[in-house]
Formats: sequence, C-alpha cells, structure tokens
Amino acid sequence: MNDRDIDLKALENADDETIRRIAAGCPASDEEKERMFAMSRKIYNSRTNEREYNNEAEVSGVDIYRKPIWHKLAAVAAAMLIVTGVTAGGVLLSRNKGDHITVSSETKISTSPFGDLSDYRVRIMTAAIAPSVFEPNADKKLALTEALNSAEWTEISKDTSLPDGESKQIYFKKGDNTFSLIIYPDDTIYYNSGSDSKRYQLDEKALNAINNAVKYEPESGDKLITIELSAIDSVDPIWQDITEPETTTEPVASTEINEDMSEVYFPPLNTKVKVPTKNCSFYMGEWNEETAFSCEYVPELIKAFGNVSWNKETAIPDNKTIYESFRCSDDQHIYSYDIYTTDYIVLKCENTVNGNVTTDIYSLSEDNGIALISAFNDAWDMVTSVLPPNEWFIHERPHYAFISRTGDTDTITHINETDEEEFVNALTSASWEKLPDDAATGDCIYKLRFAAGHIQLDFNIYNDDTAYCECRGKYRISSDLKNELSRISDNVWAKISPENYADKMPANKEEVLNQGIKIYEEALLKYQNFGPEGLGLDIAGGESQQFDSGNAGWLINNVNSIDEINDMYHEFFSDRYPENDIQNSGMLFEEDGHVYLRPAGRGSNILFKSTEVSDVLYQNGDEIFFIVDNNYDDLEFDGTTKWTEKTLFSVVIQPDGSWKVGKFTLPY
Amino acid sequence: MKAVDASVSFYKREGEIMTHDEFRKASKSSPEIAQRKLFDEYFSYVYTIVFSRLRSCAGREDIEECVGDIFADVYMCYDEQKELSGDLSGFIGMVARRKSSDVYRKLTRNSFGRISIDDEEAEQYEAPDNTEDTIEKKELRSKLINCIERLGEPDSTIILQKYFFMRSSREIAEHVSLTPEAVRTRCSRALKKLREKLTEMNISL
Repeated sequence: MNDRDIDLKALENADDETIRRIAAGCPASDEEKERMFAMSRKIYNSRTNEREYNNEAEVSGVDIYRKPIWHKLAAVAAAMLIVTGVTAGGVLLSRNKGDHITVSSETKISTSPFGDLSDYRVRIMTAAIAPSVFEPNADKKLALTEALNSAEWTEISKDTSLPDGESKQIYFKKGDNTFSLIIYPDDTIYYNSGSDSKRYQLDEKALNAINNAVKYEPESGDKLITIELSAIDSVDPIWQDITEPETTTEPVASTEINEDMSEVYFPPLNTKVKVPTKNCSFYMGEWNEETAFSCEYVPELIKAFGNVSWNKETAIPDNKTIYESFRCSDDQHIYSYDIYTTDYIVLKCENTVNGNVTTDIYSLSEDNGIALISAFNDAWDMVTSVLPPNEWFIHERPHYAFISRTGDTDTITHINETDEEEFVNALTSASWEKLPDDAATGDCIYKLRFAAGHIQLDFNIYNDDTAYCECRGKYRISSDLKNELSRISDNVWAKISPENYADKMPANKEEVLNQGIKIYEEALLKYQNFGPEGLGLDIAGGESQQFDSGNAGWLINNVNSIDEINDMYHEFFSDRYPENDIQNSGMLFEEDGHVYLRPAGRGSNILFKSTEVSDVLYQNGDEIFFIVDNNYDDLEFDGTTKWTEKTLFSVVIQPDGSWKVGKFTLPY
Repeated sequence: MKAVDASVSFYKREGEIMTHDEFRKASKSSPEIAQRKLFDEYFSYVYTIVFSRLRSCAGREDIEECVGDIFADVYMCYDEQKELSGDLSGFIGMVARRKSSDVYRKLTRNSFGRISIDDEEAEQYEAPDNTEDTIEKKELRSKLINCIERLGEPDSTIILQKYFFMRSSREIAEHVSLTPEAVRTRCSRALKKLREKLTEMNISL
C-alpha cells in the first residue's frame, strides 16, 4: 500500500449494523458465489455421509472413531520441524495472494547473499508461459524479494545432481547489474550472474513464499512480456526491451539541482532528466499550452513519475483518450507525457536541435495508475486553490451552471448555454481578493453552482460584496459582479416563469398539467439512461459473458441490435432529444450479432428527496413544456443544506394526438 | 425486466427474507433448492462477516472455504432439527462470526508464538481478543461508514470494494457500470474527498 491509499481496517470485525451496510457493497461475482455454494454443498454432503457412517457405527455398538495418540505426536514433530526451519523474522505470506502480507514484530532487516533485492526489477519465467516472462505485480514482487532477503541461504555444491522436472527462473535487474535464480524441482536454487554461479538450499518458509510469488496471475496485475526465443539462454536479453540511458541524449547543461531545477524521471531513458522547474507544466486533459498550469508550486507531481513502475508496451488499446498531460523541456529537448485513461502513457522526446522525435509507449499497473492520477489531482487542487476564480477560469472554463432566484437562495435553476457565456464572463471579469477564513460576511443573496475541472463548486454571494466557497474560502468581489448576477438571474428565471408565456399557455391548462404529471411519473419508471429497465427485454440471468474486447455483459435474448431497443424506447420517448437515444447510455454493446447489457447498476444522487411537475410553462407548436421541482437535502449528513432545482420537462404531441416524452432529465 | 432463475424464486420473491419455518418447509420438499435460496439470501451478509474477520490474514481461497463451511454448518443445524425460530440472520451471523474466528486463530497461530499440536488442543488457546468492541471503535466505524456512504454511488461502492474488499478496478467496474479506467479515476477522486472528510472529523486511519 502506498501513502496515497487508505486502509479501511477500522471496519474489520464490525458490529452487525455496520456489517449489513458494508454487505451492500459485497463484491463477489456470480462465479465466486457459485463456487462457494458448490463448496457448501460439498462440505455438507461429506459431513452428512460421515454422520451416517458414525450413526451406523453407534448402532452396531462400536465406539466413535478417535484419532490415535501417535497422530498428535506426529503433528508435534511436524510443527517443530517447520518452526525450527524458519527464521525468527520474515514475512508471513498468505496462501496465495501477495496482498495479504503481515510483517511480524520480530522482523529484522536482512538481505540475500546478493544484497538487498527490494529495489531490483524482477521478471519470472515458468514452464507455463515460456518463452515469455512476466513482471509480477508490486505486492507479489515485494513478497518475493522480502522472502529472498530474509531467507536462510545455505550454499551447496554446484555439482549436486540436477533433478528432473520443470524449473522456474527469476531474473533480476538494477541498473547494469543483472543476474538470475533458477528454482529447481528439488527446491535447490542456482544463482547465475554471467560471471559467477553458485547453488543454494533455502528454508521451507522462504521456498513456499517464492513458489507462491512465481505463479503467473494476469488478473492480479502480472504483466506478460514476450521474449525473443534466441534471448533466453542468457540473462541480459530478458531485459532487451528496457532502454538504457543513451550517452548522446545527456540532458541539460546544468548538473546541479537547485530550487530552479527539477529532476523528472523519463522512462525511455531510464533516468531522471534535469530541467528548469519553470519549464514543467501540466494539464488535466489533452495538452493545451495556453491553459496548462505551471508545476513550480507542485514539485510532488514532478517527482511522481519516478515513484511508479513503468511497463514497456508496443501499442495503445483502442478507445483510449488523454486524461492528463505533462510537459517539460531543457535547452535541447521537449519531453512530453500524455496519460491515456489512467494506465497508458505515450512519452515523446523531441530534440529541438536536430528535430528528431522518439515515441515510446508504457503502461502502469492499477495501483500505480491510481497513484499517478492522484498526483495530478492533488497538483490540480493545489494550484487552483490558490488562484482567485477570475484567474483560475482562464485555465478552466466553468460549465454546467446553476443560479438561485433573487430573494430565494434555496431555489436554483440551470443556466442555459446562451446565458452561460454571460455568466462566465461576469465571473472572470470581476475582481476577486482572498479574505481570511474568519472574515465577516453579510447576508447571502445568490447561490451559484457550477463545475470547474473535475469538481462541483457552490459559491455564496453576499450583499456586502463578499463571496464564499467551501473548498476555496472567502473573497472580496467587485460590486459589479453582484449587479451582473442579479441581471443574469432575473433573465434566467424569467425564462421559466409561466406568467411570461400567457400567450402560449394551453387553453385547458389544468387538464394538460394533470396529463403531464401522469406521463412524467411514467417516464421516471421507464427512463433509465443507464439501462433498458421497463422495456420488457428478456435478459439472460446468471454469469455475465466476457469478451476479448474487454466487454462483459448479459445477453438480451429478444433483440438483435441496439437500434431495435432504441425503436422500443422511442415508442414512449420522442427522438427529438439526443439524450433519449439509448445508444448514449453506454450500458449496451453489440458482440457477434447479439446485444448485451453491462452487468452493472447505475449510481444515484443520494441527496435526492423528491420530484414533481409543478406547473405548465408554455406550448410551442407540438411541444408542451412543464416545470419540474426536484428537491434535495443534505440534512441527514450535516443538517445544513436543502435546495430545490427547477428543471424543464416536455412532451411532444404526435400527429395522432398522443404524447411522447420530450425533454427529460432523471433527477437522481 | 431481468429474467430470474425459476428454481431460485420458487419459494420466496426476491427481497423477502426467509424465516426458519419457511426454510424447514422448503427443505422437506427439496433440500438443495432450499439451501440455494438460503445461500442467495444470506450470502452477502456471511461473506462480509468472514471477509471482515479474515481480510488481514487470509487469501480468497481461505475466505471462500470458510463461507462454504459456514453454510454447510447452517444446513446441518436444520437437519438436526434444532429448536430455532424467527429470522435466520441472528443465527447465521453467530455461526459466521464463530467460524471465521476459528479460522483466524488457525491462520495466525504462529504469529502468537505457539506450536500447534492439534485442532483440539488449539482450542485451549485463545488468540488475543480482537473482537472487543469499544464505544470508541463503534463510533469510529459509524463515522467512517457514514463518510463513505456520503460519497454517493458509485463512489462509495468503489471505495469499499477497493480498500475494504481489496478488489481490482476491473472487478469493480463490473459492479458499477464503468470502465476500469473510469473506476481508477473516480477512485482517486473519491479517496481524496474521503480523506478530506475524515480530516475534518479528526479521524486518521
């Protein structure tokens, strides 16, 4: 576990109520459940048979079988052997997994005969995957190197006869230092560095740990690497895909690192390049020179590249997009890092003198991927939190904005795209001066909600020209902003005030409202932008099917294409709005001429309380618009916030007079 | 609507809890179907109890074996016509806690510096009592689970499955309607939010 992780150990051995709450997130798949059910039946059947045997024995007057005393003695002897065979410290490794490692309190720092192996890179070849090798996941590698470091190594004759059977080879590399260990079936170990070789015996505990660690388990993050067949006779070719630093690309003139210089790990060179810190920038998304943030105040991000393990790749899988980007440069090079969907990174080195560009692709393990994204997120938070909103929004345009109604700060409504431009201009053209956290503020007159970057922000605007945001603090704002917001709010709210549409109001308003309420409630049940609930689809139960493409899902028996489902969907929902297209839900996919539903549930807004159609807004041609009140509150958690969002809902009148749902947003 | 396996839904509709008497009645006509229904209803509860006890010392195989063992014990108890009535969860919870504690002791016995002679003798030794539940611990757990739940779905599930159940993004992705990459991203952000919430409450883990 790295320092970015969190250990929920506190939830262990919880009381019954907590257990039930945790059980709601029980992750076991259908396959695992089936396995456990089968196991329960097997144990039950074996016990039932045993009991029947015992019952028969009792009936015939024979004593129930008791374990002979010599069994206990044998067990003592066996246990003694095991206990005396292991070292006092070391690692207790669970039966299979490297992720359950407990270090005993008596652990002492120890190393193998070849030094401390913990910072070596490790690759393993077994008969099952030869001639390929695999790089074990971080936990497994740790367990392996810990076991080798803490083992008792007893040197034996190199001439000891070699046993029959399959051996396993472990390759180690740190810089230029490489060697391999061969684990023979007789549990002896052969060390080979190319120039030196030895043979050893190890204690049983270490061997168990090693044998567990050398199992190739792709699902746990082990990385398979294909090796040219001709390469496996010696040690170094196993590392042929690892590029060593090239002397011709020695970066920057300055060799001294000071506050103005940073060292950035660049994997293709397998070294840290020294660059001026002011030349390091990052962006949360595809690279944009104009909007990127400088790394001068976030040195942790610069270090992050050296804190993860990089695996060389030959290509990026399809459908990957850039989530984060980073650039740094010296007098002769521009180094670029484009991070695709958390786990693939394209690294480019452009020589600005001769124009040469090299491109390399790497991947990260799951934990390393999360560590790197977290470093970007932390850097983003740190940089944006010190920028006043007007400067911040130059880098990142706020979107998805809401504003409260004048005189009613608990009721907010969505600002449409046209008004959003004005809203952003108002925010960026205002002055924002940071105030201390304990600065006094007046009465709240407007509430604003919008997304910027990856977070949602709530700003309170007060009548004394101050503003407050929970995660940004308090500001003094120019008085113009208050007036601008007042104008924008009035404009936005006028658009959803029925009194402004008297000439467009349907004649039979009451009847239309009642019909609107009915169809809205029906739409809530039918509309799931995450799946086709309510459409009467025949979905195969049981285990979801896995495909090579990475998709997994349940087969839908009674349709042959997503278009077919869309047609069913559009019997109730109008196709006037693209969000009513079920293709956009992402929950369906087609494979081999069949349609599958992803085996997952949709998340929801836990603060949602209720929703209702409250009024008719107007009729425009064949479309009638209604106002919907969505109520939310945070009272259950901190008792401070409750609000109503007013949104629009519409129906489209069909040529035959029937209604279909038009504009619709699921409120939770 | 998702089709439901007829054999599973035969005795009770989904979401209803099976009682002792219902299990007995079902068991008389078909023990396997009754066992299946009971297993489906209480699986998450039992699995969570076992995982909660063994997560620090056991692999998935041990945990699965323990869950299988617990359900076998429960089936056996009904065969023996023990006097039980009402809701099954109290009884099943008790069996699950007892059995997982036994497995915990067996798996960690060397950590306590003892030599095991035999299961019978091992029973004489009690592991340090890790189950003692102080008010402080309860309060901490309650605050922690509140903070996690407050992340909202799917983030709360992602955090629990990643950092409590120790599942990979790929496994979690199947449960929460996201790609593994999106799970990682959400996980990173949810973790940050959770940390901030815990820091506000002066909780350090």
